[in-house]
Amino acid sequence: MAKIVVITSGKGGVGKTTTSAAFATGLAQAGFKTVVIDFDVGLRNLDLVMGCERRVVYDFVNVINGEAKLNQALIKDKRVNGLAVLPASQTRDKDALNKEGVRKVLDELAESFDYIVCDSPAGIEVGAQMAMYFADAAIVVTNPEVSSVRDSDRMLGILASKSRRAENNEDPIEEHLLLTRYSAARVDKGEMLSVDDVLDILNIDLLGVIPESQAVLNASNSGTPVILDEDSDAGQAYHDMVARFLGEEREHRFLTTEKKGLLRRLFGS
Amino acid sequence: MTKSSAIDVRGGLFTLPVLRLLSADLDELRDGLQGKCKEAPAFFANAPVVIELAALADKADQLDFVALKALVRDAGMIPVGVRDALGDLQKSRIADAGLAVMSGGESRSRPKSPEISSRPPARVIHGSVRSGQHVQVDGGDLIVLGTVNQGAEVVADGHIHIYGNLRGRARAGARGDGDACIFALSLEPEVVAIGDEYLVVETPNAALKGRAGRVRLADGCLMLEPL
Ligand SMILES: Nc1ncnc2c1ncn2[C@@H]1O[C@H](COP(=O)(O)OP(=O)(O)OP(=O)(O)O)[C@@H](O)[C@H]1O
Ligand SMILES: [Mg+2]
Repeated sequence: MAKIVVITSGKGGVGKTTTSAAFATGLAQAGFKTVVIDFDVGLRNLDLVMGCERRVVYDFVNVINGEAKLNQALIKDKRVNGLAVLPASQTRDKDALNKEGVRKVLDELAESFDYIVCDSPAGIEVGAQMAMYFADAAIVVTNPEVSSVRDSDRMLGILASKSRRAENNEDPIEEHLLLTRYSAARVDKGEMLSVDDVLDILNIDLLGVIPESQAVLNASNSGTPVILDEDSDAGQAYHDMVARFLGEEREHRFLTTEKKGLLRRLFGS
Repeated sequence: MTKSSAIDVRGGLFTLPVLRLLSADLDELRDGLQGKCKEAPAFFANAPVVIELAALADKADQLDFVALKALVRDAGMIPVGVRDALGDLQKSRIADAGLAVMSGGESRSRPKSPEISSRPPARVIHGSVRSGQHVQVDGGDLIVLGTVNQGAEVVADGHIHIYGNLRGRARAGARGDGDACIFALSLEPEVVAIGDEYLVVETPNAALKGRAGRVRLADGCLMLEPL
């Protein structure tokens, strides 16, 4: 049985697409057949971050409408084995998605993939609800600021009440928190919420903390998921997060400022 | 609240003592009443009471309700109504005596099941109530095994118990029960209300943070206090 994981947030621009690309790539690197779907119909960003925008011929909506076969729309990644992208349409709007159509595509994907990663659009409207409806697990991407935390809280409420699992009275969707764009220096200055502040409010499993990093911008610009930049802090943080998702225990990193790290090194503790 | 009229009509539930008549003879009734009043004078002084006729059935046809009313008043009580009247004759004579004809209600003297089980059971929420969510309990208490976050709202006709922080809105005693309370492991609410009294908390009191507390109504004022 394939596991469906939605990458969601409520608030826009917090790092969902960056995370979807990195997470799906990490799962495939770990040997799982993984497909990542762009649910952001109308904007289409995932293919850019995955660096396959020139290879998009058919898209998710074409498949739902029966205008193309799934195999024609799936784009196999050239760097990592077992990784594929199902791009969004740029010319339709979110109303092109419907539950029945999405279910059919997911069912077909489930026959040949271990993980189905859904990159949700921002907001809590139809598009976002379609992305989360069939999920088995959710990674709630949150920035350490009040409005993002509030929107994530809202999204957690929707996950608990408006999903297929909730409607069928099945086990609830597995909930994970991913804090992104975390800047320890700004937390120290009191400009950002700390990990503890966010956990105190959301009170769910912390899957990882991704630091604010230039490497993410460089990676997006070159169409490479940042997890493939093994030397970067963000790349390593995404590796940790994938390992934790797969059940490994790893200590959280990048939570403190460099200065503290230096002091610790100087005094050898 | 704006006062658009001098009177505001609201529903209320009251528990009143019921005088269960076992005889239709006024002298016997007078003796019986005086005996009861001696047992517990404070309880009966000026107490509104309901007269129950169930045990008399059609013997109540002969009752002089005007005299009965005077007799109850003499004993220091305030008769408000009569229940379990049989037939239109009894009912019209009760009304003529200036008493209310009452129907329904469960008698305490014949408890079929313990009183507690007639209240709706408490509702338990296993987890947090999150921003945008609204939980409403009709009749009973609400127990939340988690936090009530900012932007979330919980409402109950009874008490509200929160085994976590209250950061959102909570309203206990929503049908007017001023004795209802809100309990939480930390009180940092946006709005709290009991009955129709509400309080907007713009700056949560730091002294109430991180410790168990209670919100209650005291002399018409909402009090937030540590336990
Ligand atoms: N850890 C990070 N450090 C620095 N920049 C980041 C980080 N994560 C994301 N960004 C940047 O933030 C912007 C938004 O990221 P992304 O597109 O992944 O967000 P999104 O949640 O998918 O947005 P939308 O809601 O519009 O779909 C991008 O410019 C991205 O490069
Ligand atoms: Mg996106």
